This record gives sequence, structure tokens and C-alpha cells, in this order.
Amino acid sequence: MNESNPSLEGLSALADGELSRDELRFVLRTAAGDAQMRARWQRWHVARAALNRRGELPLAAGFADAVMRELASDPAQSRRPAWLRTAGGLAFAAGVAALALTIVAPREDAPDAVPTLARTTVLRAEDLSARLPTQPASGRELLSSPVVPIPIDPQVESYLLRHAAVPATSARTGFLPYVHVVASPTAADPRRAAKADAARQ
Amino acid sequence: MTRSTSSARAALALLLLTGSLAVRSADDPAAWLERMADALERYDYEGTLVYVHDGEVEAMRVVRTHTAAGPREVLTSLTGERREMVREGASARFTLAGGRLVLSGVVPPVAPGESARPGAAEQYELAIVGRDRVAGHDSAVLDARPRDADRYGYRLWLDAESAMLLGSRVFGADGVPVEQLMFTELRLQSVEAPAATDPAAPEPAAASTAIPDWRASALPSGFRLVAIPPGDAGSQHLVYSDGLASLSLYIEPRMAGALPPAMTARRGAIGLVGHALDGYHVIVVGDLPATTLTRIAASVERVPGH
Repeated sequence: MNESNPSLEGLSALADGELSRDELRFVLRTAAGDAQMRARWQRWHVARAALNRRGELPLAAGFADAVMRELASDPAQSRRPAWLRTAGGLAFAAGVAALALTIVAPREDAPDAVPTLARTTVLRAEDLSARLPTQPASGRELLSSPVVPIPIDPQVESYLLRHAAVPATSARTGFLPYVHVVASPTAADPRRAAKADAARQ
Repeated sequence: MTRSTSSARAALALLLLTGSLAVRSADDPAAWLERMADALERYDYEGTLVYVHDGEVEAMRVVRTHTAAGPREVLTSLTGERREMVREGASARFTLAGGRLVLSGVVPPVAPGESARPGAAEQYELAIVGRDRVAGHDSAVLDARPRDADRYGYRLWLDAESAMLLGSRVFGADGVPVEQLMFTELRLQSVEAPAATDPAAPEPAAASTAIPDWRASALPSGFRLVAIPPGDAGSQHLVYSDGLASLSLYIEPRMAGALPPAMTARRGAIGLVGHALDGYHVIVVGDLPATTLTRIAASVERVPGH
């Protein structure tokens, strides 16, 4: 059983918009002095954005530099085959969806201000998946349960691409193999799909 | 009997014979499948389709034309984040995650495997089960029922004239659709000019004489090694097919910070299963049930002597 945590309860109420004006001021002032509390709020905010399927997560100056530093230290960057490389734009560290964000703590001279984005942190895939709902597994429940988008994993995407790119391996050729690549990723709990298959068979 | 009468009778007999063959071919589901594969590669077309999978309904647009560089194919998502595939000749570019991930390159030539693509009739009961109308096109409805529980079943809607795929439904063993795809509008145009070759495309790879270092001992019956794409040093990529379903087997040296030791993923009918084995990552990708993929992945072993 989890012990009561006033900081967590305050953050949760803040996220749900359930705080009065005085309570809001108290939570914000507490967060200003609590790095762990601010870090947790940052992760909840991004997780909520991902769960709400927002196309763009907030970016900040230095985002590209932060990601490139992550890539430089990523030993799996060479795992993708030589002919398939990230091209232009932004890139993800293979195996981990690392995003650079900026989040600010609320200013003391503006206690009524809603927290905005200010400081750089690094978000990992497990932060996005920590609160994704799990569902009981069965074939029909799989089709009726809410679908949560999964983080894009460049390595997984490259395996799907390389599989689709091998020509004429079945009668279902042409653009058909690429439908899975262009389709949006779904089913945050992939093990659920395996259980559903087992239930079907 | 005069010579002209004899010739006329011979011509009539030949006409009846070829007509009879044509009728049998028209109802031969295996022939329909081959014509479908040919149509997907031969025709120019433009259309909008709906793709249903994992509780999601998505729309996509596909355009295929022939250019001086060869066939050009563009598949674009019309819902959610922007995702797009553009292929022209051997070049390919994939834009995913709303543009936050872009992958591109020239697809290398693939060495053929030990066998040509097998006919689907070996592992599926094929039958033309009726007629229907899809996206304004008259169609034949073809069922492919698997002969075992290791693979999915299919229902395909094929244009009555061109055999172009108009729709498909993939079924699990319980008969519940795993994914569905249907054109809502489609324009077809036959390509008369011979397809140009891409001057930048690499020459087709010669038949491979290499023997795979790895194998999967629990492949479903009828799956044959049809291609060996080039891999990085120490890695292997093997592609198997039963004529309708295909699977890729990747064996790659493990690197710290790369894939988790064990994982599964699913998108519609395509699944991915991976695990660690003796310092390697074993990844199986294919349009097969997850239990089949898992069993295949667990059976991967190094070929004795390699």
C-alpha cells in the first residue's frame, strides 16, 4: 500500500485543475523549492501531451544540440543498416525516445502565473509509459479498450522498413507492405496483443 | 471434307479450347493472386483507402506513376501525425512521427534465397467466394483460408478486369479481423511504355552462394527462404515467405544501450518479437500471429559448423 504524499497529491490536483487559488499558490511555491517535484510535474506534462496525441511536444532552443549529443553517445546508432539513415531535421537516439524540453518554475513575483516551460531536462521512454493504462487481455477487449499511442522507436521502425523494402516476397506486394510503416503506432501494451493472439488460438 | 471446312473446324476447336482455358483461368483463385501481384506493380493508380487496425481507423492516399527513373510510389497518411513513404526507383524516403523522424536511402539489391516465392495454394485453401463492388469497381472476392493455425486468413477484393487489389481483410484463427484495408476511390491506368530503369540503381545482386549462419527450426510449414538482404558485418537478415505471408529474421550483435533483451510490438497484422541469444539480438518481423513469431524466435539457432 502506498503512503500518502502531500507533494504528489498537490501535483495531481494541479494537473486535474482542482486547486483553489490559495492552494494553487501554495503548490507552486512548494514546487519552486523542490527539484524532485518540478521534475515529476515536467514528466506528467509531457506524458499528458503524448496521451492526448498532440502532434508536437514543446521544443526549446538547444533541442537539436541536446539530441545530437545524445546521438553521439549512442552506441546503437550504427545498428541501422548503412542504406537507411536519418535524413535532415531532428533525430531520436536509437532505443530511447529522448526529447529535450524546457520548463520553468513559476516566478516568485508572479504567484498567479500558470507554470510555463523553462528548463532543459531529458525525457525517457519509461517516463511516457509509467502511467499508460493496462487492460485485461482478450481478443475482443483488445479491440474495445482505449488505444494509447506508443513512442516512436527508430530501431523498431527501421526493422519494419527493412522488412517492407525486400521486394516481392509475397503476392501482397507493391505499396501494401508499407501500409504498416505509414500507419500510426498504437497499442501501448504490446504484450497485450500477444495474449490476445493466444486467446484466439 | 474440304480444306476450308477442316481449317474452320480446327479454328473453332482452338477457339473453344482457349475459351475454356480462359474460363478456368478466370475462376482459378491462384491465377487471380498472381494477377493481383502483377497489377500492384504494373499499373499506374491513384486512390484513397481506409485502414482499420488496433481500434484505429486511418485514411491514406496512394499514388503510383512511372517516371524516367522508374516507378514512383507515394503513400501518405491523411489522419493524425504526418507520415509518408516515397519510393522512386531504388530510392526511398520515409517521414514519420509528424516529421520528427526521417529515414532515407537507396535500397540495396537483395540476393535471392534458396527458393522462389512459393505458391499460396500450398498453405491456403483458395476460393473465389463471390462478387462485390468496392470504390465503384466490380470485384471478385477471394478467400485464402490457412491450412493450420500458425498463420492468418485473408479475404481479398480484386478488380474484375485488372485484378488490382481493392480491399483486404486479415483474420485471426477466431475469425476476428486483425486489420482491414479498403479503397474508397481508385483510378487505374495501364502503363503501356516499358518501365525505365533508374540509372542510379545498383545492379541486381547475383544469386547468393552464401549459406546462412543461422536458422529457425520452428518455421511454419511451407515457409521458404526467398531473399537474403545484405547486412552489416556480423549480422544476418533472412526473409521467408509462404506465398501470402512473409517474415524477416534479423540476427545482430548485441550492443549496450540498444534494444531491450525481450520485446514484442504489433501494428495491425504485422508483429515484431525480439530476444537476446548468446550475445546477439534475434528479431522476427512478419504478418503472423504473435504466438507463431514468438515460437519462431525461440527456435533460432546457429547452423552447426558456422
